[in-house]
Amino acid sequence: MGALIKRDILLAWRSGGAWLLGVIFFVLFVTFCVIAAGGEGPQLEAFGPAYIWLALLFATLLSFGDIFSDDLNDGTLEQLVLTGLPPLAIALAKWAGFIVLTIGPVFVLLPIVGSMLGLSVSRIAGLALSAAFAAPALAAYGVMAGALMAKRGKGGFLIILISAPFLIPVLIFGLAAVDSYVRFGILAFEFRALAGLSLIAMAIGLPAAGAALTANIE
Amino acid sequence: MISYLANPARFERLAKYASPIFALVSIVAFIIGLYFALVKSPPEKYQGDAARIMYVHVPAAWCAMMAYTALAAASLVSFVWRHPLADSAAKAFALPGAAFTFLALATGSLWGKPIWNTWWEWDGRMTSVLVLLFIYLAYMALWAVIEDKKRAARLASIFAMVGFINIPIIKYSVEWWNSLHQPASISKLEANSIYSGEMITALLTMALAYTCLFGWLSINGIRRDIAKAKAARPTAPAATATITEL
Repeated sequence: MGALIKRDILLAWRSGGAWLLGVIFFVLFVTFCVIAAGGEGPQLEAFGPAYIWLALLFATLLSFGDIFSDDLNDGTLEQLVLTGLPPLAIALAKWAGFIVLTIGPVFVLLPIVGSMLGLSVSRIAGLALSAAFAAPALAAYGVMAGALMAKRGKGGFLIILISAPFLIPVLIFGLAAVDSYVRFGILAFEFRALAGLSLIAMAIGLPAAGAALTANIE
Repeated sequence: MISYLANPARFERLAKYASPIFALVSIVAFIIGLYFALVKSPPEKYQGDAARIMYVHVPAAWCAMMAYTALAAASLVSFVWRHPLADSAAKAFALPGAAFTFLALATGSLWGKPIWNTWWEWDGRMTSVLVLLFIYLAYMALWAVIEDKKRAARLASIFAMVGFINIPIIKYSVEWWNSLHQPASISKLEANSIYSGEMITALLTMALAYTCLFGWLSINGIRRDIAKAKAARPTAPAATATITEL
């Protein structure tokens, strides 16, 4: 399983920068939001966390289709199952890889994008923490949706429709956590709620992803 | 009983009688329920005649959740035992369920305008029911998009079971979050209830009508699915024998 995570990271590293497209999209999306909002004034600071959260959400949503489709189409997935690796372990490895490769780079850019929007340091810290608490949930539902739609290539809009119902609570609590962090710090109720959502997502999404992989291979 | 019905031919024989019974009960209950709802029951104490929309709103919401629970249960059966009839059932529950969800949202919106002075409020109950509608749509889209029907059955059943976590969220949303939506009022009947006997009769009759409508629609959906599967099956070439005289 560790080898599988390492392989994913290595593949991404040698892909000639394709794995960075998600982060570039993240910055682009924030730019679009700022331009659409007029680029000036106090509403930019008020809605800044919302823009950044939306950018994170869309950057992950659009990556869900890539999680399994290549490995399924070139037969890697079948070979992995043939080696006796349980599908749940494959799902777990892909989940870890997704967090490292797709959500991880966002954290590097968060302070930069946040200060471009004029957010205070504590709100940027709250954003980073809420994204960190939500990352396992985003990745778990992403792996599930990716596994369900693996045979359909990129999945397109359907993969968004499949994962969106589960991501709505994550978005709600993720944004609430940013504001609560400024007032109550890390002990705010929303962080516990996010951690709970993440645990539920892992407990439900990863086995579902494993079952979907089995269904796609058999 | 379930395993008895699991044979499509046996189901077909029972459904031939069950379908018109459900239809008849549903229509009669609708007539009685609407009479009680619109004529017999008194206007509500605080909301006046506007509260009468309750008689179409509440049963629709109940049925939307019941339909999803049935869908998830059928998906579980389909996932564990791989029974094609359970697939047909789950598939047949989806469209009426989505329709009830939409009806609950639409009537709720119409009710909200005069009472809360807003068509829509992004609170726990409304958002979670909207999420339920998305789950129904995604479920039906999964069936529509995946060509291999066996694989579609597996994947859709996995998705339906995961989506079931939304049902308890809907149920408890009015208790967990501050909401404009009023909490469950029927199961907590007390002496000082604001609901009179006629109102309860109207509501329960309407609920019966909706439930039977759901049963009618889904039985017909299952029968249609069985018939489609039968039509798609290639007919075996008739055995031919030639007698040659020796």
